[in-house]
Amino acid sequence: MRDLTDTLDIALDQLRKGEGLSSILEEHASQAADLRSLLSAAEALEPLRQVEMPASERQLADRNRFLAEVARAVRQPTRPSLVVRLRRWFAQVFAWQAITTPVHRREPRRMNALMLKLVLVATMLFGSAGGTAFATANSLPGSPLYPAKLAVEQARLQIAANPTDQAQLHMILAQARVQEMEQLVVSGREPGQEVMYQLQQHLDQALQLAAGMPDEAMQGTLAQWEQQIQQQEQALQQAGSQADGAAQEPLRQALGMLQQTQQQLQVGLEDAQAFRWQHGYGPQPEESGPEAPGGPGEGTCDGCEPAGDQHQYGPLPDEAGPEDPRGPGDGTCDGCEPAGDQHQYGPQPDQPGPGEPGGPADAPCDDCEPEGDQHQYGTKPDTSGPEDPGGPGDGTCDGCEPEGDQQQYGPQPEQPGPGEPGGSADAPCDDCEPDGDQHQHGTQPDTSGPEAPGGPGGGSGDGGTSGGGQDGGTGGGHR
Amino acid sequence: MVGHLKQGRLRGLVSRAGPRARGAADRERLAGIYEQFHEPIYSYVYRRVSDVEMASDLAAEVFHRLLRSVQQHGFPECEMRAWLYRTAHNLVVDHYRRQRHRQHLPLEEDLVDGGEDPAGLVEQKANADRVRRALQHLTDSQQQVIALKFLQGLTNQEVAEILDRSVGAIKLLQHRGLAALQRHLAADEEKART
Repeated sequence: MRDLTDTLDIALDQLRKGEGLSSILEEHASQAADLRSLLSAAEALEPLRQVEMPASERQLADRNRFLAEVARAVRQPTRPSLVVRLRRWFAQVFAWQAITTPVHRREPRRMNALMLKLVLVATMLFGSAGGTAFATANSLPGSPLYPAKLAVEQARLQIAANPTDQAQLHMILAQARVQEMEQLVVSGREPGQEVMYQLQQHLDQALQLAAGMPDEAMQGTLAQWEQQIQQQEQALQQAGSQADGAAQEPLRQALGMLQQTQQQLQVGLEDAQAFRWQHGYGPQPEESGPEAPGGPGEGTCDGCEPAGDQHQYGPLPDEAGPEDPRGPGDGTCDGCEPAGDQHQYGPQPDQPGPGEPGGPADAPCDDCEPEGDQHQYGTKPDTSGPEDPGGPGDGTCDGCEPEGDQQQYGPQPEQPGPGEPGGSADAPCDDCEPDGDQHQHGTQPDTSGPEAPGGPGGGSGDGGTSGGGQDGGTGGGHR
Repeated sequence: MVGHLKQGRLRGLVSRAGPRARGAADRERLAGIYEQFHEPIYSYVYRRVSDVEMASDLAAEVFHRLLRSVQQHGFPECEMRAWLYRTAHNLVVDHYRRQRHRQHLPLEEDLVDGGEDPAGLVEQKANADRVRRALQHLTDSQQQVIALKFLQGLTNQEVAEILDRSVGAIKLLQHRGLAALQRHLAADEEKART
């Protein structure tokens, strides 16, 4: 059985040829139901086939208008754009493609003139800049353009892609300095110290960078430089033979530099490790033992300094004993100051607390507030001595308000403070409200010393279920 | 919509003759194209828009665009008929897009134009408008296939060339287009009955 799409196409052909709908449906009986609706839709299109033509005058007017437009367009052909003209001109001049589009016979002449103008303008625009660059490159020391030349060289060094390129560039610039010296001598002038300094710098830098290259690259580079240096030496010797007395000395110095470089190159070619060591790469060859390249293997080193002190981060040997680098091992520390007070978290040693003579312990504290805990972190039990200034020594404080409980860091009711065995049982607090500890860090209940600054021991309020939090729990302090 | 109808590559005015002779040849060629295709293109447009003035204007615009294209790029490389039908279709679609918000309806005097049977003519016109409205609900490709095949009387092969599709694709579009048309006509009838 055919697909309905194909059957429909056949049936439509039959319908167009004038066959009756019933006979078509009978022929395609298996798909008659679907075909019927589709063919009726096609028949519905019949009214649209009729076309009402415009009046003959309108038709004639439209035709004439079009032909007039054509005539006008043919008389005035559209001028191609400059890009199209340039493409055609290049295609014609360099014959890279067959020209299929006809051009006006004067077009090649016009384009030649146009291109000539473009070349002239480009020459005027860029010619002066090119000439300046050329003059700069050929300038000699003492010339006004010489600083510009050096600046350009520095820029080239800055943008060199990698150390190998930089090394090669340094050697090229060293050659340039030697050539400048030759030219100066030939022209009867004396090479100045600036050139000598530049030459030395470039040679040193080149060797330094070469020492950091991989073995194979370094050997190749050094061999290449060795030949170049030899040639420069010869050139300098020739120039020296022509130079007068004053110019002899700089040339001799430059020759000395080149010979020194030559020696170093030979070292590099014979013993790469020694060459590297000389330029700050790798260990000194003769000091490297078999155990470790960095030093003797037995673990002793006379004269070695502790490596940890190099950057002053470790204890100096005379400042820290073997027991504890931070202090004497016997627990005494003359002159030590309590480090815990540096940030005001503990009592100052010269501020007697209430628990010690002179402190509030002898005179009950009515409204004392812990002073030694500006940041309200409380005193740690192991740092609170028996004379802890943070609170009354007897564990009573009439005016104290529980400061350490607002955020439940205060002493737990079921854990009486060390100051009194029963906490505040002597003075039960029925309705005390936790006003204190607005800074939210009270005394840790299990860490408070006998006279903890957060208040006397965590009194167990009657209804207190916690350290006096905002949930209504009663604080553990006296009112 | 222009992008939907892929245009063939355009070639330049290839001629070895001089500009004057070439101009004359181009003029003759364009005039021949107009004579050959103006009526089919007008018919195609009229069957889609059902308005003499509008169809005349749109058909004139088709040939104006042809002239501009020849000026800029040369004669179309693809078949001239396909190029003209595609351009005409694009213009019709643009026309309906512009008309969408103001529900173009033919004026009464268009309906009665002095025929022998005015009542029959009105009914015929109403039927044509109903089918034309239903056609507007079809997809763009379905509309083109229906118009080119059933109104212009082109074969599947010719329609395939114009739309740059395979004959199988044209048959499928024809099937789906007729099915959709039938659904919309039935819905319109139901609506009119209620």
